[in-house]
Amino acid sequence: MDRKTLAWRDIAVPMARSLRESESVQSWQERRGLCTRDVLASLVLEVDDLEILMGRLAPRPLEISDSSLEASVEYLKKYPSPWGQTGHCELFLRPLFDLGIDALRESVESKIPDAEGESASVYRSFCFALDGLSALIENAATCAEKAIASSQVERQAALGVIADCCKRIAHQPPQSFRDAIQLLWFATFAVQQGETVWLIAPGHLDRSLYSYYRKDIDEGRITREDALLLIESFYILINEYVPDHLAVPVMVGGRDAMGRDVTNDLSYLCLEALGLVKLVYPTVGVCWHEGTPDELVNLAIDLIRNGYSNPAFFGDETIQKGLRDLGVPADESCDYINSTCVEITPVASSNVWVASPYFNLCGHLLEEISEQSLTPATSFDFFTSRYKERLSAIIERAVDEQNGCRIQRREYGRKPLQSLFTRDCLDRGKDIDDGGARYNWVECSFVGLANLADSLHVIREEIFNKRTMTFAEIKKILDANFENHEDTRLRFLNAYPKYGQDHFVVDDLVASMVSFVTDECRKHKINPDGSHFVPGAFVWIMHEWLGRGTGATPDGRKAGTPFADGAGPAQGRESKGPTAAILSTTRWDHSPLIGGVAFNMKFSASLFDSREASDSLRDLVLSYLRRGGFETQINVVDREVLKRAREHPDEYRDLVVRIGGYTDYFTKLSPEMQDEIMLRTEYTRV
Amino acid sequence: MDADCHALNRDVCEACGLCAKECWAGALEFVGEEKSAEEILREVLRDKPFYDTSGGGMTLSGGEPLSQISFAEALLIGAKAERLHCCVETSGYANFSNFERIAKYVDLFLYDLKETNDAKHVEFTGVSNIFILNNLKALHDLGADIQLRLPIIPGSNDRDDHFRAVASLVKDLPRLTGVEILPYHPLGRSKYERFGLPVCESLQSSSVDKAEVLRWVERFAELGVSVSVSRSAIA
Repeated sequence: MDRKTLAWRDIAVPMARSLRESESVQSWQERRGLCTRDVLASLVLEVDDLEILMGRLAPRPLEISDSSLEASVEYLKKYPSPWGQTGHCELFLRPLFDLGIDALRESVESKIPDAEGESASVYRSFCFALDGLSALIENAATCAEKAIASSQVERQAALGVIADCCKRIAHQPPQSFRDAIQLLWFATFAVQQGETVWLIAPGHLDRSLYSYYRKDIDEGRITREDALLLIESFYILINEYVPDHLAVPVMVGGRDAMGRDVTNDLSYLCLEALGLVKLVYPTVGVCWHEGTPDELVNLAIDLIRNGYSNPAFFGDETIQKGLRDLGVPADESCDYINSTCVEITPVASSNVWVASPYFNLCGHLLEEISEQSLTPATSFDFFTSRYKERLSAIIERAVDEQNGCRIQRREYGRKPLQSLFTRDCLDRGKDIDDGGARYNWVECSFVGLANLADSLHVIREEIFNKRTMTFAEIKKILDANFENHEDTRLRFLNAYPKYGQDHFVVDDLVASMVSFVTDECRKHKINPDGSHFVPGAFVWIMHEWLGRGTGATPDGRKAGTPFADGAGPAQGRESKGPTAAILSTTRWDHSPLIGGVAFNMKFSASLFDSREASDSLRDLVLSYLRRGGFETQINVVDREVLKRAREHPDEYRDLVVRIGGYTDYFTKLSPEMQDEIMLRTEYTRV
Repeated sequence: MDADCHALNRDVCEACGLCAKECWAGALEFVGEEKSAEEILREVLRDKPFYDTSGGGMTLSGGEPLSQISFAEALLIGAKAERLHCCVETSGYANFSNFERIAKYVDLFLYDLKETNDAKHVEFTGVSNIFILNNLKALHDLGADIQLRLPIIPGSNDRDDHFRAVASLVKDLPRLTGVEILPYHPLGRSKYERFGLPVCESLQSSSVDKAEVLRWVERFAELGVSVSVSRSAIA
């Protein structure tokens, strides 16, 4: 187990210790507050001779022995561990930044005497949690101070600055950009590490930190380069902390409540830092609308061009519409964050669970085909009705499960620090697990949309229109994974139009399935306040995970292979180019799918060899967004990938490369042409 | 089919396209379809949302588009009705009346000039370059926007006399939008193979060295002509 995962696991020790000590305390809420305090106070931090921000956990502190860990885990078994999601939000840190920890604690404490019911305990738990945050930051200050003695002279001044900053923000409000970004780190880190919350979004750094940046720049306290370095350090801290295969989002640009563009210097710095740090976290999303400056878009495209990172583009108009349709007021709909991948949650007020759950659209299709092989429907419409009924029941079961988790969490959860930093918990005097938050939606995601539509069309043609086979026959072929039926598989795959080829016959199937699941989700209400169950169409890793466990499908997909990697066409079916893929993908309304819509495009690095070429790429992205695209991310493919594409062409059929003045699919080229392209790709990577 | 492998006998092939239609694996591809101008315009206009953003449009290429002048004209009229930007790539080898017919619809001509020496032009292409050069001048004087494109093939037309003749020509065409050199690349070779045609032995199998291309650019600069290099050239 690597260092990062160990840190999460070792939390069991201070947690167990705290809960043991608080056994005589009546209120579970207060015990959770004490737990947060004790866990945070126990964290051991480290700083080396290059870091300029505190916040890195020391690897396994000596006090945690394997036996103490075992005993702690054993003890914790007494406490039910409620399921359901955590985190996936950007926190409400305005009061923390405006007042500072001490004054904030005072203001919370002052609510206790007049508090009714459980609120008094809630406020107490908030105070305990703040004590923990303060202790954590004090620890950091001490750690920096201790390092001074053993450091080189040149380094000592820098450590002094770090220590002063921490000593200050452990109690007072931040006075500078450094203070602010350091406090932002500690707050997000503390909620995650102190309350086992996966994950908290750093979010809109260009909104939360801008006033501090502006003041420092205007008053000559820092330079742009200083700020850039601090942002880079912040990014590095994220990578030191968050384990692999997850996602940590930063978002830049966008609009304010009056519809004005909010892009500023920090928006650019956040992107630039990405290109300098070149690590996997965070992702930076550009919140795009018609008023977004060209320079910001061009900077994002340049980063993509260099292949070191891939900023994503989000359609602000589409997303804001979706949020308003869910009841978010017009002056709040501009404040959202992609909570990890592409799922949207309102900033500062979210108890929204995302990706809860992922639905395997094709898995259920195969179940229905099984059923049909015994009692076949007499028309395609009847068939789709039966499939929809099946899906409807599954969605209902899933909602029940999520609601069950919500009830469990109310009993056995509670997260005081996260609650303090989530509207409207403080005002209501309620924990986030007890309905304190303003938004309590649950968002789900439907995996395999493209494969479903493609499969339905094949079924419509082969079984109902042409009558080339029955359900029993198709089931046999699918169960055999197309063995001895390769010609049939190729016919299923290539004789019929596919989603992504700009053909209305199959694009309409996608649109109608999206419409169906949206309507279905709307039927349900979510605990505790009757809020929304919201659909999405993104996959994270679930296209592979679910694909692995699903048999062959009528679209020609073999058993165990991945589904489409988002809401776009399935792998290798974009045979008419990226413009057709975009036209297909934007034929349906993305705005209801606030649960997240992902659309990936893949290009070879050779496409970016000139300003002109980058401009074409930019135009492609903007056309997509203008047509209502929710989100897109561009993958730049280098020589290594080209090599793999030669060896496994089926997995790379949609890879577009630049030839002499035009573009084509890499896998369609002759071996000699492929050689030439690979040579050129190497050439351009200088 | 013999021994599990498809064999194509081009001697008796009538190019009916039926085998390609049935080949779901995509191993056989029929290149070229008969289409009406309307059908083509429908296809072109599918991408209009993208042109609106990028300022792109329709480019007629070939073969020689002006050899199907009525068709080219119909396409251009249709595209212009939708306010698309229109380009025509031409070898210049056509009746000038055809140029006159379409010039009003064309935003930019991409005009190829392969060889200024007439004898060599006949040797390389089978036809004289007199019409091509006359058409170029006449089209220029008509007021059309023209981008001159010069394919340069080492061992054939990368000669100084050709460069000098081009430079002299360019001086008489002050309103050219630009001059572009197209360095040779070998990607055409595989096309021969796929059509089952023998590859011409003298066709080089590698691209032109970047350094050599830059030397060409410098030479043109010395001769007073600022040339750009087609994007397809240097990777």
